Amino acid sequence: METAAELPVLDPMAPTPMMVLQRRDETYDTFTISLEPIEPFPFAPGQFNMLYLFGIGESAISISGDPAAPRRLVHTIRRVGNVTEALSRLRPGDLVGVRGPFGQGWPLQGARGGDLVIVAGGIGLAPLRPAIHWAISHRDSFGRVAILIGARTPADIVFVDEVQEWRGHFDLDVEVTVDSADSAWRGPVGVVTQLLPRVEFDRADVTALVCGPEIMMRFAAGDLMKRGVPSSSIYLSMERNMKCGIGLCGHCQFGPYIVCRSGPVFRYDQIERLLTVREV
Amino acid sequence: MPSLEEALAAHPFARGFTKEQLRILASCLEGESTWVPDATLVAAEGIADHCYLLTEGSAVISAHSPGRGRRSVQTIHAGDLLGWSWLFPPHRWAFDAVALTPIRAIVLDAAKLRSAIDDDTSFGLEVVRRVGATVADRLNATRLQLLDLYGNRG
Repeated sequence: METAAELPVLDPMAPTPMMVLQRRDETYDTFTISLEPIEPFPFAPGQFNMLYLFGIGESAISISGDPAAPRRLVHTIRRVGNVTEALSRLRPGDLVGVRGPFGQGWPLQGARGGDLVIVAGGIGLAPLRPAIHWAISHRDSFGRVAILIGARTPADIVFVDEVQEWRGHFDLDVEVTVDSADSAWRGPVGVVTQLLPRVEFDRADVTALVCGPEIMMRFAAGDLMKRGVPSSSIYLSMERNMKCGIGLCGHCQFGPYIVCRSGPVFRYDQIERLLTVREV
Repeated sequence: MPSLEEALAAHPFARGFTKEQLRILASCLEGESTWVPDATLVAAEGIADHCYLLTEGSAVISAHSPGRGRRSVQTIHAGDLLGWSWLFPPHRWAFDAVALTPIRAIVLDAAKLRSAIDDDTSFGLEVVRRVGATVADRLNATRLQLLDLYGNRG
């Protein structure tokens, strides 16, 4: 896994105020905000920040922007609680406190030279989007690149214009499926794991990046392994209740791991056993 | 262009059959069908007198709901078996299947196939194993759909 180790985090517990440049609705409950860092903000695809709203609280949010654009810090957020609800009310010019970037990202450097399969479910596409940007800008470093996206309905697909643009790349295999649709939807219907048999990759030399609900990730990993992909080539991004972001408070403990420090990206063989434990 | 028998032998459904089992399967061949986009391959409540093996294109399994139009359940693709209603009584399709793209399928006579399954138990076991695997895959997929997974991730 990779980190933006070169980033000088002066005080990881002190939020840096950043101004909201843009806010855009993705779906009825999901939105994207772009922040303007005072200094360039390098990060590794898959890392997250703690976003702090003064007087309300803090929430761990994956970075969803392009790692090649460190002057524009992008987060895509679903409204699920007090903090994210308040974040959804931000408008250009408002200030947000940012701590980060934290955690281990996707293993893109190590994946170079082989095929890349990216499996995203729902808003799980957000933490994968920087990896997709990176893969597109380093396209010659990979063999086949497949991007498989699942959503609840066509209206729940995030980054819909960008997904359409990715589909226009002749050297990307992009498939989108939804769980439920009416007759206006001309694409596949079914869970995202059903797309796996439809894509070609070299099972001995592929890296799979998976992000979405835990059950979906477990089934995706299982189906990849059925295709002959070793568990050591499959990476999942785990979501736990991150608080400090630097491995001190223990809120995000997951078995022997502290997710904010050892994750959120884990190799599947590290955590496979933990995913079937009812309460970790 | 491969012959229909060659196309049948190359279909994933026939993978692993012995030569004799392939011969029995081929004896149930009725021909090949094609559909244009939006054409109905099979309609709910229609008699399931054929077994279809898709060789090209994609179709959606769907149901019509009064006032809500067509609701899609799952998509099937080239290499897939279209349904199993032909195997189990009352041999009527439970859902519609509608072409999303141009479709080509190998058509087997369901009555002949059922008779062959009864007559040769080793052949029958292989057919039922394959149909069972399809049912299990689609049941697992449907269970995941029912869980409405994407509503839970923050």
